[in-house]
Amino acid sequence: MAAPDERPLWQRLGWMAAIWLGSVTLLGAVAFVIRTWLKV
Amino acid sequence: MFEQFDALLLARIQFAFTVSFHFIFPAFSIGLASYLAVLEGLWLKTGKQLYLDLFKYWLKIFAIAFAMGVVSGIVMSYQFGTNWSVFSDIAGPVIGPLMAYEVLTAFFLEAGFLGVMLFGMNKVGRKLHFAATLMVAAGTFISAFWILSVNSWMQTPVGYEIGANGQYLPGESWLEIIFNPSFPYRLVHTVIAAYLTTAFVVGGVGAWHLLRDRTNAHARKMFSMAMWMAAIVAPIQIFAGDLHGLNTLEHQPQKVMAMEGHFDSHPDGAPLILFGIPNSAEKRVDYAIEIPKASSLILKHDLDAPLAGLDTIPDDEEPPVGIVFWSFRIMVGIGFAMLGLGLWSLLARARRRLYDWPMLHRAALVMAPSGFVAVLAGWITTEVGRQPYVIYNLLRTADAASPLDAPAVGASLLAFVVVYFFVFGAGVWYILHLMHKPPHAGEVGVKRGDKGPIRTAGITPGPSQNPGDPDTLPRNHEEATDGR
Repeated sequence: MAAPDERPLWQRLGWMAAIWLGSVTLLGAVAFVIRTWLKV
Repeated sequence: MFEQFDALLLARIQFAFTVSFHFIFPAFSIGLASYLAVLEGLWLKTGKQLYLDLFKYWLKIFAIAFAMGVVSGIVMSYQFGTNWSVFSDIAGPVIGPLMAYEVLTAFFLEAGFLGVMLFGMNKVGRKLHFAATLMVAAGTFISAFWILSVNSWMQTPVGYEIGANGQYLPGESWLEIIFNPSFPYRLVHTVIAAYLTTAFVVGGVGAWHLLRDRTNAHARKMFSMAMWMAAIVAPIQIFAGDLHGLNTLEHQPQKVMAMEGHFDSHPDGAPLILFGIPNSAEKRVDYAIEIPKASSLILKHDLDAPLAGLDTIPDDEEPPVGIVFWSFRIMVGIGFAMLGLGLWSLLARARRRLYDWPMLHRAALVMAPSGFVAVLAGWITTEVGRQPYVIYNLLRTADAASPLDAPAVGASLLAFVVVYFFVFGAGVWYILHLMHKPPHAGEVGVKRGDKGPIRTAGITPGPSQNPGDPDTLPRNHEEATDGR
């Protein structure tokens, strides 16, 4: 398997976008749970 | 259970509790994000493994501190609606957009790219990973920018209009609201405080490991970097704090009167009260130890300059003097102690004893949590000093609370106390657990879960091949770090 720096840019950017989106989604879920708990 | 309590007081205690808990984490993560960016930048520039090791060591700690900061921050923003609905209703058109920018920054810059920082090194490559680290560092600063703009507007409100329904509405220029008179000073003072807080934690952890093993190259490097910060940034912070104080004198004079303990006006130069016990009932400071005219010198740069006291302020406009007086002295005292440690480290450097002076290391260890105490004391000074207003001279705190009964506020306060102590207590314990482990060559970083291929017997994988297995890594610091 190629080292990360040897992979094509589009593949690395794709990973970056996917991880970024997953992180934001996770935080959104946490915020929603807290919102539900506080009954805002 | 809470019937006999005042709902307003409970709401204020609840906000003070949650904001104090919250503030600890961004005060740490703002500085730590920048420290991580510096470490990764140095690793990319020099190629030295030591910087990557330190980056991985602190990244785990950052992730936990950041997560707790975000979660406690979300609770706070919701609390504006639950306990301070009148404030939210009246001030919402002005502060709402600014707080929204803060939340957007926290979500899309900090949290989003934190995922890349934690899990992306083997996916996106070094340069994109560094870009993500820079995004997180920039995000923490931009978050601080927006939230401090909101707070500063509450301290020095300008650029608003009052609508027909009594709401504060944005005037002609948002820039006037964002860059309100106290904002530049508060931003600089608070962000530097966050950097210093992180520096002293890093320095304390480095000192702890130097006390156990003074040859640990990683501990040496982090201690050295932290002491440079203390020596260079602590005096800058004292200067910035002085400017912030002069700005406060101009725009919120009664806060400075409370900080100074000046119950009476001094037409011929005011004394600097070093210590004493403020007696609000008798309107004097008992057992005061003071330097004549020094307060006028500091605040007006003139020994004989007149300074007005709280006797010029109606009683119902006075902030609680005792709290402001003492929290201010705690903050200033710690600031000078930080400067002292920075100067001590310079002396140690000059004598080539920076890594060989146990007393210095013990002092740095004791000072490790000092930044947290200082930022909380500073925050208490500025927030309690604004009382009895929530928006200075416009909206009293007593008029800003939600129309809730005491049992409702008390029950949620109790829930917060219990949940916070369990959740954040566990988080803080784990951070201390991570700090307790010495930094070493081949730091693992955040575990990915993948084990990698099973290797042929007899072949010992090097650090770059198998970063997840510390047992296979060299334990000799000299060997692993080119002798640094």
